[in-house]
Amino acid sequence: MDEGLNSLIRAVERAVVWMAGAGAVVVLVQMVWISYGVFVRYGLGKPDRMVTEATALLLFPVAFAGLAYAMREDAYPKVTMATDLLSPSMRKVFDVINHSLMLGVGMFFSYAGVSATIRAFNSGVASEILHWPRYLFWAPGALALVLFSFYAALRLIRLIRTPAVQGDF
Amino acid sequence: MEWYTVGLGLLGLLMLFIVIGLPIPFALAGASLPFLWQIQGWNTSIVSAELKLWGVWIDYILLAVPLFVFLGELIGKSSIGPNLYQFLHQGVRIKGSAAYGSIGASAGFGAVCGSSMVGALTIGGVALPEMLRLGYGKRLSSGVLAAGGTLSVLIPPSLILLFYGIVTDQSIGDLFIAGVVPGIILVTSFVVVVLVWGILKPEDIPSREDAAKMPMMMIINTVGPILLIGLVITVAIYAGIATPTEAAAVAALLTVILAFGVGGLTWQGFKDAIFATMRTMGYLGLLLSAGVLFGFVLTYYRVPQQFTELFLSFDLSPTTVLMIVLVFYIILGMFLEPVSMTFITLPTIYPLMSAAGFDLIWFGVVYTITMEIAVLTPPVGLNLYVIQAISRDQVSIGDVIMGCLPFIGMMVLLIALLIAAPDLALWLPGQMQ
Repeated sequence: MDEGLNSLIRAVERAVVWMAGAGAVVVLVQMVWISYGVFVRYGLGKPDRMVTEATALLLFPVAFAGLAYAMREDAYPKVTMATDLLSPSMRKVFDVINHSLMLGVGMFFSYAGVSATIRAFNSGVASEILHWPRYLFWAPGALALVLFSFYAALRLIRLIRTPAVQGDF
Repeated sequence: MEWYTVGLGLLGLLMLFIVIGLPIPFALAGASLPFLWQIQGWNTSIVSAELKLWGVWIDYILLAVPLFVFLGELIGKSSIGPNLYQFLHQGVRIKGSAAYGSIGASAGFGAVCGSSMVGALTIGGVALPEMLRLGYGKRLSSGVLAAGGTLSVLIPPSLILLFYGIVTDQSIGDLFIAGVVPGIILVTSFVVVVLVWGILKPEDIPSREDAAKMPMMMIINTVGPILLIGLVITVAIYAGIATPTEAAAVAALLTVILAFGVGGLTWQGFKDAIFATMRTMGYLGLLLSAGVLFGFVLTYYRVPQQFTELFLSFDLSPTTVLMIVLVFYIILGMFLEPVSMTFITLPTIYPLMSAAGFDLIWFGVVYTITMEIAVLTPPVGLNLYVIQAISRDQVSIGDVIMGCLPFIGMMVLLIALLIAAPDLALWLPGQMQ
């Protein structure tokens, strides 16, 4: 059972890294596209009318693509001065509470993301200048949030099943 | 609910979550959501969250954040930063050159990178072992490097100034340029600290350093990229050629080329840099989103406005208000890191400072200096731990803290100077306009 859970977590972590990688590619695209926009504006005297809105729209998926990856890398800022003083069993209790709260917050934002994607798809709402469908940008953001929630849930289950002295958080 | 009930409730819940070790972006969201549901109910709060998320992230100015983070990571993963230190150390052959070189390299690094921790890690990683090997005192070596890292926060481009501008709706360009003169003063004052340290404790600075001279080609490869990237950012923004986002993109692209071309960046280093960027964006994404919900709840109950009115009703002088705010930030900075503090406190504090008659560009610079102090004050002083971790066997956290004290003193002195002469920050933006 534990082996099954661990292999599932490993599989999800691979998806987490790929999601962060996809976000990284978008950052590179933004970097090149904006630089190209500056070049054509001054070098060729022909401003790129797409660049500002297009790259701003692309920022939305980037904002959440690294969320689960930051969790995997334990990169969230936190203050552990008080919990470090506790016994392992009490520390585990707080770890479980913290993971549950993270999962709750993640699920709220995931629900909002999925709901927004469906709403944007049904209404056909599009961006102001380029008229690009808004759901295309909500969808990857929502996917990243759902992936985070799933990953957080798996880590919570593993945390509950792991003895206190071996807590992983 | 009364505004003070909401204010105290939000703050209490937030503090509780932070104390139990919940990561700060989640603590911010977790504290806001019960109040959001109380205001709007579940369905409307979902729609509100959707609108707020979309509204905050579809922002061209915010696009500068991942690009500046990426730029800093690239410099950190290439040899450009460490080489700059070697140049300033080996190229300037005077007593204490390794310490002065650390300050110069940190300042130069600050001109291309906006993150204090990356600055301390990059320059400290090469300079600290070298300084200890040469016989510099532990406290001087670790103090100068931990404090030197903070120069990245004040000398533009600065991520804290960028976030400050976003939260307070001030011009990012004006904020960046306002940081230049105070940044130069701070660099100079750090040099004075080393100079005085050498007089008071001569045993902490070796009289001879056996550093090899740097070849001319290596000097060009070292100073050239930093000058070029720094110039692209500063000239583009200050001359109005490009927006901060465009300057960030062009500078990041240029850094990729230079880091591969002359900075010894490997493919693995490039991958590490872009994934480190996504790791930072991972928490910034949720922090900013949660910060918007937090701000919405505060604004709905008019907490910032009521708090400002209450504060001003005591008829305190503007200087007293400023002192209270600064002491508040210095104490809070002992427990929270700067980016979180910016999103948690600024929506309430900046209306107060504006109502007290302070220029928000000027306050941005003062605020940023308090954030520099924050990363140097225990128990949660990020730069202290970054520097100690580099030479864990030789330097204790106590050494780093003691070593930082004179530099923190200089930062406090700089704040006093800015209060006495606000034009130190405001003159240059005025000239540019």
